[in-house]
Amino acid sequence: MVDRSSDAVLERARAFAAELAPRAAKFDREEHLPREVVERMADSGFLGATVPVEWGGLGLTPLEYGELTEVIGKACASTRALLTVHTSLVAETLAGRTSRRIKEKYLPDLASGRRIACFALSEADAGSDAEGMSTRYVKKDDVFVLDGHKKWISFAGIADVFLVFATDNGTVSAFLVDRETPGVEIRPMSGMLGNRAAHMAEVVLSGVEVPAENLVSGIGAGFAFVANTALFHGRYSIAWAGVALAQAALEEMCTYAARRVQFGSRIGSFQLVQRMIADAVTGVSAARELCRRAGRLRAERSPEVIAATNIAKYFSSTVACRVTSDAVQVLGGNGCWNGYPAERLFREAKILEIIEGTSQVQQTLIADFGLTTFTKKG
Amino acid sequence: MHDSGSPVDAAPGVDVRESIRGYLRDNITVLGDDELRDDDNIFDKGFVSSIFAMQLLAHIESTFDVEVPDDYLSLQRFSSVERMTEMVEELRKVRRG
Ligand SMILES: Cc1cc2nc3c(=O)[nH]c(=O)nc-3n(C[C@H](O)[C@H](O)[C@H](O)COP(=O)(O)OP(=O)(O)OC[C@H]3O[C@@H](n4cnc5c(N)ncnc54)[C@H](O)[C@@H]3O)c2cc1C
Repeated sequence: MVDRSSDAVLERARAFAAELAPRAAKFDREEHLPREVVERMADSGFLGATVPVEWGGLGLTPLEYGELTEVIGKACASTRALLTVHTSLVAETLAGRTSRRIKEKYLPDLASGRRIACFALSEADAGSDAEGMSTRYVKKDDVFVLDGHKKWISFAGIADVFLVFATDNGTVSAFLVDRETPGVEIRPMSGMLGNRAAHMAEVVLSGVEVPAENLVSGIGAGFAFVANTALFHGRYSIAWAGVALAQAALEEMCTYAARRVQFGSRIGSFQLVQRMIADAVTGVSAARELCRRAGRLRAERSPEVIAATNIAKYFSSTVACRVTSDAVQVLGGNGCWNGYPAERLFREAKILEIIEGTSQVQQTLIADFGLTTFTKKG
Repeated sequence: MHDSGSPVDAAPGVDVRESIRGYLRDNITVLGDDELRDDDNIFDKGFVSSIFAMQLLAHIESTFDVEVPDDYLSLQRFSSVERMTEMVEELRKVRRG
């Protein structure tokens, strides 16, 4: 039985992260997250972090979950991606407004990590415009039949259950598909810039029969309610992932600048290097505060939380890109070499500007919010 | 206008509609010269994106004290002032039994 108090959870996370961090480069190089790491995440209760206790989760508050994400994300981005996908995108979404039937069938196993979930929305021709997907479903007696091809699906390589989105002439619905269902084919992908150990795969669905009870929410709720809810949770996770990477890069940058000597002085004494450090410190602090604000608004169920989450995700991923890029700069040649973590952090940071809604998608949403909120009325 | 009691319960049709209209006006991107009509499809007309549906759902449940069941969660039911008013009234009937 795991100790569910938040202090114990975070202490466990820090201890686990200390063991994980030195192994992250190897996972990245080998494009493989070992099963034993997934099991440690499960056994520690982390995979059910946001699932309510009554369903077997840890029931962490949003701020506690944010902190957990930062601790794990700082150690290993691919391991953190498991939290984003399994815990935020799928388990937390199912713990929300889905039927008791679905909860009973899936949530306890997802919370304990006995089963791993992934999120299958994107396709080769449907990314930012995910609603334009071509994977389709038809109702046939008491099953839905799914046909289509999903791409870029993190953890599809090892997941037991897939939250799949499909359309029936524009009416998008969401389904839980078990890996063992006939007609499900997994095609592992490799060669990614970051999240390289996240077992990414394409998922091909050919005449896959899904029991009607595995429809998540109603017909037509798939995009507007299920996918948007999932992405809302996922963006909160990615916002904290940005803080994690930026914090890790800041520590690399400062440690190096304090030791490296050129022109007879430590490079940390050069003002142009100090500027990068100052910008990094400021960016990380600001990103963390935006994440905390989004976390507080989540806990309060404030209507402002959607905009606050988009803002946090956008800012934090931008900061992560800049700070990790500056860390590479401060480390010079060593920054470009995989003997140091800077180049990996830099690659991982770029991913955050693309997943869970690209920076351009966030800008569009934030601008909409701005125009509604700040246009003078009358 | 109602001067006493609980206006939303006293004349459900009028006030639910008015309240939803007001909420939309406060939350949709600049209409410019366009007036929001009760039968305008707010998604098709580009007044809001589908992510706003989540916000509408939370607003409707908290303001009118109804629970929107799973099988009502389609964009259609949230697509206009008209449709949302109908939905709230239906759900209230169910609640009253
Ligand atoms: C590491 C990684 C993990 C992923 N994991 C998953 C997963 O688990 N599940 C899943 O479903 N998907 C996953 N994805 C897919 C990811 O969600 C998409 O890559 C992302 O949504 C962008 O879609 P796209 O790649 O098709 O780019 P596109 O949508 O084609 O965008 C290309 C460029 O055009 C810009 N653009 C597009 N539309 C607009 C617009 N309206 N205005 C301005 N600019 C615009 C974009 O911002 C971007 O810069 C993953 C991707 C990566 C890289």
